[in-house]
Amino acid sequence: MNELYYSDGVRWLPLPHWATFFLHLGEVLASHISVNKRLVATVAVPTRSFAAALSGFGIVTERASIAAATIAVQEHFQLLIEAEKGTQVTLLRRGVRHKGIIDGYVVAHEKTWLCVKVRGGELGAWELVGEEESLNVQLVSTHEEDTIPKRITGKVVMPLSAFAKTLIGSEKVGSFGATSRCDCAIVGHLTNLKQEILETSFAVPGTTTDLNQGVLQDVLRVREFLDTGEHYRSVVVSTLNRSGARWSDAIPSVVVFDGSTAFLRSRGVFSSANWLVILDRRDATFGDAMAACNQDYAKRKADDIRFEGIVDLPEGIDLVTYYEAR
Amino acid sequence: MNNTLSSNQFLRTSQIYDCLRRVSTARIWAHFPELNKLNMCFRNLKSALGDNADDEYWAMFNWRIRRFQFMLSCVPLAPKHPSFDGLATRETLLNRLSGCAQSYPVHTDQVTDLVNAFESVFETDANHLLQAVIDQNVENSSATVVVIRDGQFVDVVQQELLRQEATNRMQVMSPKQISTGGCYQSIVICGARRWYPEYLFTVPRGERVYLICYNWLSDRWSAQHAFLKAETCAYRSTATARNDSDKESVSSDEVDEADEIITEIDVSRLVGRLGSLREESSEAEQVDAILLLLEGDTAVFMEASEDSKTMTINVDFPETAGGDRTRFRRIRNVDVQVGDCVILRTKGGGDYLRPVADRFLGQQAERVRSSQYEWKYRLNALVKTEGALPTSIALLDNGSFRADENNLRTWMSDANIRPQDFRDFEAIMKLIGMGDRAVEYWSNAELIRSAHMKAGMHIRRLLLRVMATADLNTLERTGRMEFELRGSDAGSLTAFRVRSISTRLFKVPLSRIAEPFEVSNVLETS
Repeated sequence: MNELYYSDGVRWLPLPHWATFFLHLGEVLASHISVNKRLVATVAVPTRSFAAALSGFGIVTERASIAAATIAVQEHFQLLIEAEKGTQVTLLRRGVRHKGIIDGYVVAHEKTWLCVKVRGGELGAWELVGEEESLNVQLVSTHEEDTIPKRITGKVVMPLSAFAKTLIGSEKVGSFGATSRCDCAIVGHLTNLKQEILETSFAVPGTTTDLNQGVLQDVLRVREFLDTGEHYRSVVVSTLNRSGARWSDAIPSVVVFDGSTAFLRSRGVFSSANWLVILDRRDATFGDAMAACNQDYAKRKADDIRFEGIVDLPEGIDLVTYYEAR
Repeated sequence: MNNTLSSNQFLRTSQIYDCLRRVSTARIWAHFPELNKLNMCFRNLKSALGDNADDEYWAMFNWRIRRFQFMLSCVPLAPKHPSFDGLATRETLLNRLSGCAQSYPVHTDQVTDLVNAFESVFETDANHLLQAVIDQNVENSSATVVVIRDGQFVDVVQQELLRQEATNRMQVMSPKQISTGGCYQSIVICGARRWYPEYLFTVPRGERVYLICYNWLSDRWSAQHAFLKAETCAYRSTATARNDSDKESVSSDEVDEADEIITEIDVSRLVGRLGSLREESSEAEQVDAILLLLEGDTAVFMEASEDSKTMTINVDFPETAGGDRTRFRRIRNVDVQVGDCVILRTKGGGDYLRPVADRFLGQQAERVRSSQYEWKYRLNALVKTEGALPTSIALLDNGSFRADENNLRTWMSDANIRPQDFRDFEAIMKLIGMGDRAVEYWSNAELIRSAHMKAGMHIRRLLLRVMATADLNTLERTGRMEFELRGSDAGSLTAFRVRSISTRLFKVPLSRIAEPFEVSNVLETS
């Protein structure tokens, strides 16, 4: 990843060691995901500040290098077929994104077709999408009851910021901004996460001498912080949200638990996902969370792993990583 | 969006990691032989009493002396400081000494030794812990923080530091407060490390940590919470290891129990054993409750049922214009954790409640209030002429369900709107010659009750609005903060930090739920 900078209020400085550690940890975790084994990393930190946001940033950046097409088109099509009628999606046609809703599926010519309703009202209009085209249909972030238009209109796909382009790489920019995928779910306190993800400026050197400024959201593309209809790469789940107990979306590639309470409350919901557990030593429930982690490690570990490149831990941080058989 | 605020948060986080790279520890052993003598006398008496040490006779005595010793061992104040309540402790000791010859004659000598040892400590003017700070030439600046474990002493220690030229620029903070800020030059911690949260030592927020402890106390400590050792996967940082390698460190199970005579006091055990609620009517409805020990030697019972919730406030959220409702969170009582700040009503609505309730009653106010006055007046007159006991018996004869003397006095009171059960109310109405109007008066009382509830909720909302915009610095510093409506007698809400939670369940009358009480008041009844 290109070197990131932060502002001390006067000038831009390279990220300090602790921040690059979390970015790197996220990248390394994402690159070690295995189909047959579940990856668990637990880290005890002196403060939870920015740990989840930066790790998530590393995860999404690393996962962006995996083209959408290689992430099981079949699996994606199956997800769309199984989605409830009325689920909001976007349909990409010739560089224009249309709003639509899933309206079931039909079988014709020995082939299954997804029905996407793209025009509302009495004179509805549908597009049939086959499996090979299914990556053009994406689930979208929705905040409220949104209706599909009575006229078929579209919206030109908004380009990514220069900050995101530099980090993702120009060759992957197209699919990154136009496909939804849950590479990372962060479970934590929304107010804190919002501040870190949306309100803290970072910069990355551009092709010229200038720095391209941006926020972590440019790359994280958190569904809950996007406008309706935008394509996401990560989600945040509130620690306080008891309805988080029923997770109906696709299993995120990595779930980041931001703090002991988040881990203790939501670990059961994401038991089959890869985990990054961040435990703030100041949390009142730190001891309970640590005990739960140790119990998981003792009972269920399959293989310890030591990541290449993570050798110089910042002071006050302890890390345990292992694989568990699925 | 407040970009500066969040950039500052990033810079503060960097400071914390920088600080951990530079942290160093200084150990200072302070001397206070008189307190050591008191500790030994107490240990001797406890040993001599054996199982009798748990008798109610000694409960207050034990609590007072242990609290006094404990506070003197971790709070840099002189023994005579009023915050230690030394006079009350002396009175308790003398009281038990006077009764000792009759109740426990064998132990009179040991109690006498203990009282004498206490007198020697109490007569000492010196503040040994603070003197140790001064003798060490700890930098007198706002970047030096003295950490005080009990929020109730934060302000008084700050005042004490202000009086000394060598310490008047230092800050005093609770462990919670220092953990939420950035990083400081020096932090001073008095007493044994096991009495403080672990994070103060595993990830200290000061580059120089001064550990000040009396030389006769053991300060053996090691981090309790660590990953299981696994050579191939666990990376361990040196900041944590540095504390572990301290020569005084041993694992927790090696700590001699005798050393723990000066330790956290198990209030739940005392409160449960003393059955503080025995004066309640046996007919009163009882519920399962958990006991929360709150900041400032206060405790509260909270209903333990799955559905019962309590309001908490988050001190980490800054004040925002218009009142930040996200500061508040209703959580299930069983989910309350140590460190949470619970909001409890500490004074009722007072005289403010009635006019607000009358506004809700509107035009009906005068009619329903006068009917209420009428039956209360007649009942009071009857009890005055017949006496409480005969009236209770007569009520039972008329079909009452709970007409004992205690309940009768409650029903007579203006503070009570009506009995909970209609059968009790009907019996009253029959006895005062108004049986035919029981249903009508019951519905009037119901209107009043409903209006009072609405008024209570209204006042609560106003108080929460005050809390939403308040500067919570006092709460963060001391673990306790009271909120009142300006210029009205509307009662108050107090936010308390939870210090510990009892693991056992208590049977408690409903009227005692969510009603904070001073621990010493409970023990005084023994």
